[in-house]
Amino acid sequence: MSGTVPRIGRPEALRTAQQYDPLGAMGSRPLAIVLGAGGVLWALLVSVFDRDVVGSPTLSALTVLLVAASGAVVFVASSPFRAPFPRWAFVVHVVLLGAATVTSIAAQWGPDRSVLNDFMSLLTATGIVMTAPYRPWTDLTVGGVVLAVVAGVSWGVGAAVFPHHVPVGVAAFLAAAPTLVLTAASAVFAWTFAGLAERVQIRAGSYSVERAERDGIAASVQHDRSTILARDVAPFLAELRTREVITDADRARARSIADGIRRAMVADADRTWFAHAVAVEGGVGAVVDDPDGLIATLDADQRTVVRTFVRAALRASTVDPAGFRATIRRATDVDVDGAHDGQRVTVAIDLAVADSDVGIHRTFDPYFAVLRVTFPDLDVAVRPSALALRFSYDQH
Amino acid sequence: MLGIPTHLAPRVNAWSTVRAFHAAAIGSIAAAAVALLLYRLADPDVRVVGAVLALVPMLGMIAVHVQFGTWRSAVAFLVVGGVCAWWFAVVVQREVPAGWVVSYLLSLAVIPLVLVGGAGAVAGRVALWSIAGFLVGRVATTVALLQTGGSTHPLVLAWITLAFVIALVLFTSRNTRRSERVQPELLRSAREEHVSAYRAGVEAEAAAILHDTVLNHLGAIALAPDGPMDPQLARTVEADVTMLTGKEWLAPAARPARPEPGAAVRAFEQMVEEHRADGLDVSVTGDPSALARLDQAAMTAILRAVGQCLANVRKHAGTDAAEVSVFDDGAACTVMVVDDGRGFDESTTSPDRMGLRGSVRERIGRVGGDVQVWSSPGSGTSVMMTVPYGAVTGVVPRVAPDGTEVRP
Repeated sequence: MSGTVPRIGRPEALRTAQQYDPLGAMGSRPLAIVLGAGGVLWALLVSVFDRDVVGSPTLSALTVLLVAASGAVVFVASSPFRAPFPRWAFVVHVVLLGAATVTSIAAQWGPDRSVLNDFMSLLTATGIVMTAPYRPWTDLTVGGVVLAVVAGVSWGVGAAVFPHHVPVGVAAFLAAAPTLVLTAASAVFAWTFAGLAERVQIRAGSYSVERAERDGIAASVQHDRSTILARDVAPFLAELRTREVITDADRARARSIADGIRRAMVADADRTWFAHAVAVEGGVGAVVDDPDGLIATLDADQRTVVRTFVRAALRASTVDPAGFRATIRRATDVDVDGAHDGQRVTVAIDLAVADSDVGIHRTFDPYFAVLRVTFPDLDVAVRPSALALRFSYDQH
Repeated sequence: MLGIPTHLAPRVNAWSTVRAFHAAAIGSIAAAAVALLLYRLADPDVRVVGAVLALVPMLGMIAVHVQFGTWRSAVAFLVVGGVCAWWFAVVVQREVPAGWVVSYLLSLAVIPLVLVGGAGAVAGRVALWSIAGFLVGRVATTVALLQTGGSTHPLVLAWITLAFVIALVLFTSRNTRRSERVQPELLRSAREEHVSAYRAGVEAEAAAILHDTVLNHLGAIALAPDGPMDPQLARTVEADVTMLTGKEWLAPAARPARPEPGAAVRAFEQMVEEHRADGLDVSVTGDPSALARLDQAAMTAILRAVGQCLANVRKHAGTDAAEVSVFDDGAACTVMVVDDGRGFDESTTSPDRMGLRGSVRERIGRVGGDVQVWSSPGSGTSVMMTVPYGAVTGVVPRVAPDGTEVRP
């Protein structure tokens, strides 16, 4: 049952807000970017102008670089072209922030400090918030707790070596508190989002063809067939009934009418939903190269996403339908684990678009976001006046 | 899975965000309490019990607000929270010596007020409630500072929280525009997908019916000897054209209900009789009454498919005898059509011969059944069709929004 088969990620993995709502995650990406960039700027300003102790400028610079690197990881991994945000990127992000926490303490090693002046205890907290739409609540919790422990231990050591007015335990806890609080918030966000989205998500399978519509479709198909019968077959048979004998000409005509109907039936039977969808959307000159009819093996959700892209593409004013070419082939390469050997199908869609690469992105980015979540290996190549998509899937 | 419907996406996002705010508010109160208790453990001279107690009503009111989420509960939380923040600030100001820790703790008491979230989950109002919460907290702590005569604190964390809430609201309210454009298209495609799949099934059935009737009879005419048309052929041709140009020959079965008892067996016997009338010696074995257990669509499909198998025997097998066996294995009805004719190799059959493919295999497949063919040149042909009882027939199965499968 196609509507219930999870298509995204490993079945046991928790889904992220990005996987439930790729378009929403795409919309909240600027917030992650602003938070990342703001964090780097703040780290830079505090490092230059507002350190309690001069410490080591080299380590300060390293701290800023590590913060920038962690922001860059989120920037790259949250791109709709790389969705879903991979766990390894989240791990790298956390490790970089943890390292920056340590170097930040080391950079201002010495007495007379306030946690409030250490930007890292807040940047580790916002670092977790940035990734809330992209990772499940379990990952966020583990990552946040790790960062909180790193912050707490680093500050605790600092406070123990250089005793100040504040007890060591309090200093350590206050250094970790922002990260703990915002980790709880991020985890609750991811958990609530997944719970709500699970209930309201759209599934292609949730539609049904109503009784009235079924009758309408049957009537329409019957009408198409009856037209052929009324035009070719009925007059011939009526004529035949008026005759006394069957002649060679009648036999030849019967054969020719039968061949014509059979040819039309074979052509109909061989035409896939995809070829039909392309034809319906005006792709008269479009080429669908699918000799084995493999596109028929997509499930309902996958078909829906591909159909949406095809419609958007063929209806875009900048796209010439004659420049649309889809090539569907059985994958020849063996998968790493060998499990998909011979069962995988690759799809290549090439489009001629009379637009710049920026314009192409502006028009099609939301579609890529949805395609990417449905086909995790989607590869998009955008050049001025050309767009090429490649993806693959397991046959059903 | 195709995302969240456009009208629900902003609400899901806003609701999750407000829940996250409340989690952060509770976390903030807990952090303040833990920090104070740690202080007390490290330094018994610092008497913080009053400040910890001040946090309790605030925690209770946020629980009430999380539960009800109305503007009244939000106002009540701000009022109680404001008083608690004042009480907390007075005690902390007096008891905690380190300046930056005081500022930090006061921020932790004001942050829950900033994260009040308001009533419901409407982005713009969330920001206004946050500003109100910040002002209440700021006023409460300032009054406490004036009373205790302490120095003012910037409350950096509270400012950052307010800025963050406003930034979040700005971004989440503008990010729905793209999805407003694309999401309805996904919905439309999902609908088209279903209609298209259903139509493909109807088309295939129409093709199979045409194949079994008009095409067969045109073939018979093409092979007819000189002279008047065979009266039997003329009658069937007439009947076909009347049926096909008449109404509703393709209409779906009213319901996949079971036909009246005995009707299935009668229809089966009538079909066999027609082939006997055409000169084929058909022997029936097994238990034809098993057909009565099939629903209407499955029974129609299997009768038409068996009819086509018998027509193939007559036309292609070079024999005038065939056996039809009907079995009931409890879960499925199996019908075998066996002849000892010349046989064939299915892989070498011309692709434009639609009989076995469209009229037998695909037709049985559409009612959830399975077809196996054993044949080779010279050794006769056996076609086995198995249709499970109660298989989903006629309509693409659908899934309710909660994911459970619904039988049409």
